[in-house]
Amino acid sequence: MSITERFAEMAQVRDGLRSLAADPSRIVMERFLSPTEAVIGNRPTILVGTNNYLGLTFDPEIIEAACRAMHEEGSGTTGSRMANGSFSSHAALEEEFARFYGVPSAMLFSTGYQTNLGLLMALLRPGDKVVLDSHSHACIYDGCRISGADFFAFKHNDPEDLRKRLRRLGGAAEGALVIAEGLYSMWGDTAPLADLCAVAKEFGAWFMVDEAHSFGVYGETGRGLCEEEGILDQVDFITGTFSKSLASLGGFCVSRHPELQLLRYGSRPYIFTASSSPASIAAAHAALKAVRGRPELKAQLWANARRLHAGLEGLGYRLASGPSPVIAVQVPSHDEAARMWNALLDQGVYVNLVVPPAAPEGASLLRCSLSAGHTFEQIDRILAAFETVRAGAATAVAQ
Amino acid sequence: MSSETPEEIIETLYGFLERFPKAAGNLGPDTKLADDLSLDSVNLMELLVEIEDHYDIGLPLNMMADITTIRELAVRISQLVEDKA
Repeated sequence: MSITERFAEMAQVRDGLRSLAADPSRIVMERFLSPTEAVIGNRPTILVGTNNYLGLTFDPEIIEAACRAMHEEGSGTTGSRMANGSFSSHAALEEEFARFYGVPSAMLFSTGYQTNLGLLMALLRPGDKVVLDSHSHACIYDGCRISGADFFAFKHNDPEDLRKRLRRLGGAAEGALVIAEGLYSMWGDTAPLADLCAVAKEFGAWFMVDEAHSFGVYGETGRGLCEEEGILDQVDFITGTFSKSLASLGGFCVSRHPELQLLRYGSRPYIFTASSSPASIAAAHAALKAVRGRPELKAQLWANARRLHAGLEGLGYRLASGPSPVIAVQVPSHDEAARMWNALLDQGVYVNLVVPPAAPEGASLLRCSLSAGHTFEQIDRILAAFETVRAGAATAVAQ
Repeated sequence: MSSETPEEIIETLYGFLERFPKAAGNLGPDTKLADDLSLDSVNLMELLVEIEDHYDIGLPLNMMADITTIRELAVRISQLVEDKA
């Protein structure tokens, strides 16, 4: 194989999307009108595919904090924390996360992807055993793959299947790493974390949860699904991202094990990457305060999610899961999904088109992600667009 | 199950693979899982999970980096079944 052939493979992916008339490069947000509306193709478009769960990307306090940090600390850090030093704002945000979770250790990474990559590459070596949910995000698979560990998939959200696969590992199950997510980003379903954690502990395995999509959205104080399921004191590693509820860019890991700090000496994606910019850190810090101090955001997000979910169900759409900030409409074929995606854009509604392998189990999805910034009027316009699109469909996706 | 030879395992694998669109008339020991059958990463993972349950073994997903053909997969399964016994 050659680089020329690699180019050909990628061109094939691009051509496949173009043949569906669904090239994501078509989506350019030319001008923002609000956290939930932008001009795309000269048309004001409601954004229902941005992961801006708490709608904080235009929050005045967060923007002010980011601007202040840029003035005081500069536009970039120009290097990694291990090679070029930490800024006090990095350490302050780590302390804030540790306090919020009531744990001794927190570490920041430059993106959510790198958080999981950095944790897994540091913790795992060839021969180690990992059992992960089959719907896990690409960064979890990539971290396992790069580490050289042996990794096995258990059936999505199935604690009994996890038990079966741990049992097959025999003595190696003790000390294995089990990985799940809180809210799954494509189907919008949540994991039975307490049950999965109990199975992992039954075998003496470590338990890691990625709360990328559930932080700020679940749990009484917004600490995620681990908080909601009452297992914060049992989970070994919790990871998350700044690029969703926290309206910034970066990632974090917290742990009840003080040894997490040792990753600074052994995590290549931490050591060899430029640290997050002052503006990103300041924005995430300010957004974290909003998660803690403005519970009405979460309440509004859930009200919006329930309204859209009920409305889509009422229109006869088949939905992948119950109400959550991610609502995935199941569509029978790639072609139909692409047609609907384009038709929704023409109606001024941007959702995510998800086709395999990004969508698990061969499904094609029109993925909607809700925001606290959506108004009920916008939700109703989204529903009207879905109704129009369905009415125009040669093959309806009604149940 | 433990007495199956690699050749017999190949026959069993045909049964798992025949549901994939490009399998019809295209299954042989040297058929390439990705190139000939167009199995993507998700297809492969689902296939491994089924094989694991059938033979009651653990097939690490990372193992697939070294496996191209149906025959190579069958030989690996045979080794794992033997190790378990």
